[in-house]
Amino acid sequence: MMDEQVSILATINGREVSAIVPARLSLADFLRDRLGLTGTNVGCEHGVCGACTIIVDGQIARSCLFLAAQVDGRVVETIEAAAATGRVATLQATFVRRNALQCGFCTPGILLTASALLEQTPQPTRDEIREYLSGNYCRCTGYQAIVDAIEEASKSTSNDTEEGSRRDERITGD
Amino acid sequence: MKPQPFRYVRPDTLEAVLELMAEHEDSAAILAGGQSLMPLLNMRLARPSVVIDINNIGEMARISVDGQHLIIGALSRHADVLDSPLVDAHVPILIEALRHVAHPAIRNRGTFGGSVALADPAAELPACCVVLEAEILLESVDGCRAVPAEDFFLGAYSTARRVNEIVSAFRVPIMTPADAFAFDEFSRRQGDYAVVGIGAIARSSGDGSMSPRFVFFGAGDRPRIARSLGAVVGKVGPGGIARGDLENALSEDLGDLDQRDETDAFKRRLAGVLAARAMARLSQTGWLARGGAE
Repeated sequence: MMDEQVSILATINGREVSAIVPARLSLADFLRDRLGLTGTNVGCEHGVCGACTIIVDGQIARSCLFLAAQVDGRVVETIEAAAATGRVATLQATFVRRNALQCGFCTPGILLTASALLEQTPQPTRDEIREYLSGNYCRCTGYQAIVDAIEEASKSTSNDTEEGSRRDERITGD
Repeated sequence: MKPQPFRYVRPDTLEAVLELMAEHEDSAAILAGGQSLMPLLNMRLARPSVVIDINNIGEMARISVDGQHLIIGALSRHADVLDSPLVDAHVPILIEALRHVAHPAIRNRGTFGGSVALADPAAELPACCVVLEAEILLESVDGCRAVPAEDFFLGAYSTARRVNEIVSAFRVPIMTPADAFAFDEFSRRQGDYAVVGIGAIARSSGDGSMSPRFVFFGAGDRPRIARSLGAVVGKVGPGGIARGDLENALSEDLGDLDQRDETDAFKRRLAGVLAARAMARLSQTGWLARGGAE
């Protein structure tokens, strides 16, 4: 059977994108191969690893479980835009400081998921962090540093005073 | 791991969906949340020739109260059911159950109808439908019908849905604050499919007596009602059942698991632990007793 082609018009990272895509093309493959947005990674292609996580209409979702055809009329944000707009700036800084990434394959998905968590629960407990991030696999770090980084980010965004950042330095011993 | 080619359609009305289903029957697949269908497509375990995307059918996503029932549209996202004040007020066991379902990104897309129509033996929502004595509402070009949950799940991934029918909504008898409930499961990772799980509701009647109903999932090819356990607990209450009597009742209800392999015997063992925990939870009697309810 020939691949049926579907026409889509979507807003991706703030830009209107018009394309004709095979019906069975995943959003993950569309973002990576057609638009060159390779920050989104493809791990398991069945929704369990979280490496493909992006934001659709303001909510995190698995791009490996979305057809490109489905984003017609929708708003998509990838890690590239989240980084450029500063959505994940605090998290990026704490991830670097706490060694919360090694190969970095899981990191875009984890940053977007953590960002969604902090939007919903600005001061999560470590248990809440672990539970919310339970859909994101990391093979390198053992997760401890990731939880540390998210916890630290949650504290620094609510402590925008000089005293607050000095307190954070005492915690990390920097 | 890419799907076989298929034709993609995204109708704007339920009528159009039903016509497509009548035309294509089981060579069409319904795309709702996609959190189960897409993995099946990606692994080529499903090879429909037509994928019908129903995400434009907004009327299928409504949650409302109709007299003594909560009506949950099949397209309701797990995240929206979790956030629904109506569900929290009237069917709080669903809130407990959905905390065990998958992960936030999946709950943003996955739907109530999709989970029930798939009928995975280890899934939470089919068991909730059975313990709640919900009705599954089905629509087709031939009309509508309602199937009691107890009669809907026929086996692993097998339901009473006909090939031209769509699961359109759920009619759930609402709970009262005097009803007690418990929900628990074992899984290897938070959000994974259950190794084994239990849903329990003890509905109170006017005279103060309670009718308990226990349903296990992950312990067979479909949700299993533990009738012996329900009978014993109905007589002596969740606080009055000795562990030995609990295990005896479970051996009647789930005894076949002991005859099979080590995995099933392990599930049988875990079922006993979950049942004991459920008794402790039910003994708090009435959901006003749950922490922070007020």
